[in-house]
Amino acid sequence: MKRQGPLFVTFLSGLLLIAQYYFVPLNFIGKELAGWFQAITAFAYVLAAISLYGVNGKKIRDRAKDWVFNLVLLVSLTATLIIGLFFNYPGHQPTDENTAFYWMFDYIFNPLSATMFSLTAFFIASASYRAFKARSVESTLLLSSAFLVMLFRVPLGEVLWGGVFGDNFPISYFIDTFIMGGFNNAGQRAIQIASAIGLISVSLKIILGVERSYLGGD
Amino acid sequence: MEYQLNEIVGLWISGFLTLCVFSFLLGDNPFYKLAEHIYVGVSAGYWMCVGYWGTIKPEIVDPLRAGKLLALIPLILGIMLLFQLSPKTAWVARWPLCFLVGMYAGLQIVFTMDSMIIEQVSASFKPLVAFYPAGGVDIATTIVNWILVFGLLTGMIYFYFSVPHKGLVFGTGARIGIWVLMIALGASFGYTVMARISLLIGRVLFFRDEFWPMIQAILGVG
Amino acid sequence: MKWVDKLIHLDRRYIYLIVLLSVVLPLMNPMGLPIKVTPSVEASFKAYEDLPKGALVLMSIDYGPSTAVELEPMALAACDQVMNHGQKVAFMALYPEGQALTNRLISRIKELHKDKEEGVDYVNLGYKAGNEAVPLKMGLDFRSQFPTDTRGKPLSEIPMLRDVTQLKQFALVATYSAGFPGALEHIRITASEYGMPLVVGTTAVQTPQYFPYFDSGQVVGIIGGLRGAAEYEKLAGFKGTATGGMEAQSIAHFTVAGLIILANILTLLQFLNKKGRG
Repeated sequence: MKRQGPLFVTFLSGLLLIAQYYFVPLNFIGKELAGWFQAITAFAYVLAAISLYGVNGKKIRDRAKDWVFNLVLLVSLTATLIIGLFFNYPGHQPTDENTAFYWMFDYIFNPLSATMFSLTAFFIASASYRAFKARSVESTLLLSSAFLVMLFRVPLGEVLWGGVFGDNFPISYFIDTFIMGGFNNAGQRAIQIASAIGLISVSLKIILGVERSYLGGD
Repeated sequence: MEYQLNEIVGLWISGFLTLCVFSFLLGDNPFYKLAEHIYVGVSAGYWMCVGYWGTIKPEIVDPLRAGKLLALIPLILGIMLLFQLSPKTAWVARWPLCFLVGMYAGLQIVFTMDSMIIEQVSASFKPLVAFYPAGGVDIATTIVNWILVFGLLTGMIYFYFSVPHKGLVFGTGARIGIWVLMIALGASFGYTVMARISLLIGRVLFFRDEFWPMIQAILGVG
Repeated sequence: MKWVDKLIHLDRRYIYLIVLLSVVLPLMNPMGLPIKVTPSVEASFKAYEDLPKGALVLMSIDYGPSTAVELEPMALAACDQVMNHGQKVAFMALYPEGQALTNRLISRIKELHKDKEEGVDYVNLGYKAGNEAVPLKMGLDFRSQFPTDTRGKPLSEIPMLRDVTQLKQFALVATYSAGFPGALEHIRITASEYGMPLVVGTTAVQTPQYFPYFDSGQVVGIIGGLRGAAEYEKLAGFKGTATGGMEAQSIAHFTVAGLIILANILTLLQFLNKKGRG
């Protein structure tokens, strides 16, 4: 029952979703299932928050290395939850603009998130310097098209090209038409069709109960 | 421009946290760790709050208040999901998990076939000799169509692993296919560099357009 | 050749410094380089431009702060265009952070168009969890997916959405997307399944991935990365941050390309040196 019941739920929910697609009168099922799906997905955030309390609380109790930072994490989490769930504003939700929650987003979450990801600019430059070598036909082709995009998909490259070759053969047209419209479309389409076929076959195996690895052990 | 106190405090905090994260470039250090842990805490809190107000409230709380008992099902399934936290009770969470997986698989079957296979394949039937509307062969479009059609075919051959990549069709086809894929991935790499640099531009713009004007306003210069 | 080995194993912090300078210096000294418009961005612009006065646009803000620098300028230029032409925009989000970033867009609309009113010209319907389930339900029953705006006001009380019950009543859908969930979900469901005209504004990383959908006609236009945003600003005649970022983008690209060329030359020298010795 611990496995068969849930497997039947997988089968039923997948089947109902497909059925409502082909039979319009069953659309109401799709609407209801989509609503449930959304609500359960939102509970995943609750799960994440509780899990953070569990993991970090244990580290603080055990006075693990750098436990002070775990405390910082829990304080920021708790403060955000209190401000976002319980601060009341007439005619507003706590998550609207001009609220304390929005201030936290704008001045804490926003710079942290933006800066974390901006670090990748440095890493990609460093990694390119170390690893991007033309050692074979394949890597030379990769390097060539990367260079075309890097140098001539920016205004400076276009200006320099125009200065040397004039407007008779605009590089922008070449990249748009042959690289992006030709090779990129062919390559990306091949990847997407191949992955779509894989996705459909895995989905079918899941609904029919052949693929069960997502259930875990026991 | 006049600044409110909350803006000044906010901009100083933003500036400090930005530098804390950038300090990672010199190696791991307590400032980076501080920023990292605040980030995890605030982001998890943010997601839970918008998840509650945007989805749990309208999908569960409001319908239940209006007496719609069907909303009990996602509530129960949502609570069952929380049993995932303990290894002993994790099996309870399989029910909502299976619902999510089943729904997701159903969605993929229904929507992937049409949009990612049928429409994409039908868009690949290009004329191998293209003409201008007024007449005459359009050489550029003809070349692009050849690249697209044969690039796609050879690319697909490369992904067809059920047959050994040997001989004229599968061997040469797969070889050309990998070249097409490399050119496409090279373009992707070029665009990736573009994206990463843009993100850094964003942070420099923060100091130039937000932080520095605030300092100037405080000092009464500029 | 010791110096070759030294340069090949150059301390990464020097590379970081070079990259930082390549971005900071051009931002301090703008050059005003001309920007050429590409067909996919022009098609996106035209999709908005061709809308009649009073038409409804559904704008999906599917990005977070990490990619806002690329996507916010294009979304803002489009908002300005919509307001200038007397159309109306409803915002939604598949990204949780999209809801707060929509507030930021609305603040700018308020600054730039003081005559426009919330609920009459623009409204924030907010974030909904559930990824693909959101466009699915939106197409089946728009009102049950978005019963209220983010302030909790029912759609029937919002003037611009009072009569809207179906997704098809919108003239255009646009997604400004950083990844999952976002453009692909809208392409597969909102555009392909429900037949809505869709404009995709996306990060540069994802841009090549969506070009096949532009070729197949499943999306009406693509705006790719900060460069695409700069092109859009040029078309819309909007003074935004993307255009000003293009010089830094150019110099930084040339710097990264220069580093790659240098590394390849050094590797070749090292190889020739080893061959000569051995």
